[in-house]
Amino acid sequence: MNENIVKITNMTKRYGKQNALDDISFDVKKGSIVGLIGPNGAGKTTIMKIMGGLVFQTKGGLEMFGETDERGLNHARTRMSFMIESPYLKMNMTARENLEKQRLQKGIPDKHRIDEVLEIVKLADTGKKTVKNFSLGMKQRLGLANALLGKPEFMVLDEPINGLDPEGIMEIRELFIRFNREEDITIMISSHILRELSLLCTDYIFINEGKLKGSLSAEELKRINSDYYHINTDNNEKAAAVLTDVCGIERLEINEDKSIKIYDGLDRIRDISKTLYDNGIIPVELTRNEVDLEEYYMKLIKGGDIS
Amino acid sequence: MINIIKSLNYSAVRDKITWMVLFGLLVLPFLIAIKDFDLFTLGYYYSSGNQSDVYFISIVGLMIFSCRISMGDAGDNTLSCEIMAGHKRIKVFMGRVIAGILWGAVLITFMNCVPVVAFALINGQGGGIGLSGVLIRTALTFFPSLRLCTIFILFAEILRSAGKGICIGYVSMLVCAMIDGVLEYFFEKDTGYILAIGNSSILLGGIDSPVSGEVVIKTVAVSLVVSLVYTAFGYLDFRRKEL
Repeated sequence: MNENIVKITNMTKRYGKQNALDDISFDVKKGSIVGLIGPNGAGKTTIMKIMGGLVFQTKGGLEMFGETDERGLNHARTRMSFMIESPYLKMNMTARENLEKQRLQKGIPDKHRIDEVLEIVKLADTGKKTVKNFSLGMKQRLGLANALLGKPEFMVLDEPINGLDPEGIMEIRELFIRFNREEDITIMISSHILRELSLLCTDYIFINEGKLKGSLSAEELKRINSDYYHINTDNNEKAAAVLTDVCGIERLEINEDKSIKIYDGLDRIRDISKTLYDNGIIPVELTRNEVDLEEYYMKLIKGGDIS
Repeated sequence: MINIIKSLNYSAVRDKITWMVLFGLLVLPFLIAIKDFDLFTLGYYYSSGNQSDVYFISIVGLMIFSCRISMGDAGDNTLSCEIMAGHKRIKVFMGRVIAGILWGAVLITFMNCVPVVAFALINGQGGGIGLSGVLIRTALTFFPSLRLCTIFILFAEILRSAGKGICIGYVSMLVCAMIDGVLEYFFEKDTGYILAIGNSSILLGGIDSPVSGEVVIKTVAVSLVVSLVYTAFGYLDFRRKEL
């Protein structure tokens, strides 16, 4: 689990005077599902393209499967599969023909592999229907079949659930989990649908404006973002003072609407509420919440304090 | 590299446009022959009267095949797919150039030989030059065609679009022909020979007058060298191209 499949060190990519990536470093561990998270233009696709050999970094190191030179990286790519920007499909061909084209290109001798992957992505019965008549979900699934064709050890997928309906998203999620658990495939996935990533990923990498904003495991995220109480009273300003001075709450946050979040003292919420009441403050809302990936991301990108 | 050629051939034979162009190239010589003679014309008359025109028209097929096969999928990212599959860039590029040449130059040369053989077999060859002589001259047009193919592939590669490659390649052909015409008219210089089309004109234009060995060697040598230069320029651009 601790073996690194990918190691990116101080990577910079410059387009003219603009930095698409600025001194980024991170690792991808074998067996993990890594969520690459960031707003549009953050540099997610650039990272994936550099890994795929489509774009060249201006500075910095790229190591994949222990290989660092161009020849070695090309060899590493034979153990990987990519789906960046679009699923690389020929619209005038059927699903089987698309996969046959890719099978020839990748030099895969086993023709039966096409049936296997079509079965996995549930497209075995599409017959002579050409891809131009496929729904978006079917195209995405065919793209995944394509990615699976060479039995990759590591899949790099850029926005694979974009444009899918909830049912399609669920299907793809189940597929990823299956690939990861049953076939031991490491996955790197970028998406804007953070809720989906939180259900899927074991690790997260956050980037914004080409800079690495943080990387942590799902477990770490859970540990860092302990639960909190959301408190709203008839006098929040006074309540905040009472909470810090009287109740000894150290991790406290005042929201834009003046409501309060407290991150410690959660086990003595009864006493806290009584103290507020005793100080003439009437709590009108007191709810226990959990910080999720979305909230963590927003704070990180906006530069807020996470702890 | 061979895998890339196989994969490109696989998609080419499943492309409707491929079959439409092939059908056109097959029918066109006979239509042109009917215009001037009739379907029962001797092979010699077809070769001396029509073959040159047919060659120039078949350049349309050459343009379409070489650009579409080699770079037609630059837009849908299947080209990127080959690099991401771990193929070296030189192999991706050469695989595409070779596939473009197979369809653009080899197939077109073959297609130009079909009516020559058909007329000779059906109606007899007749005239002053035998079938084998005409076939050798037709087969030699492979070299100027190769040169045309590589320039079209070069433009398609640089512009990452088959359509743009065809347009710019065609314009460049016209510009060369115009420059040739101007030089010939004003300076009385025969510069036709340095053009690929000029070479083919010499080979097919006067089919009943002999072509010297020197012309053949020059045609082959110049075509090969220029094709290599175009291919090298193409690779230099592709080698570090960001896709």
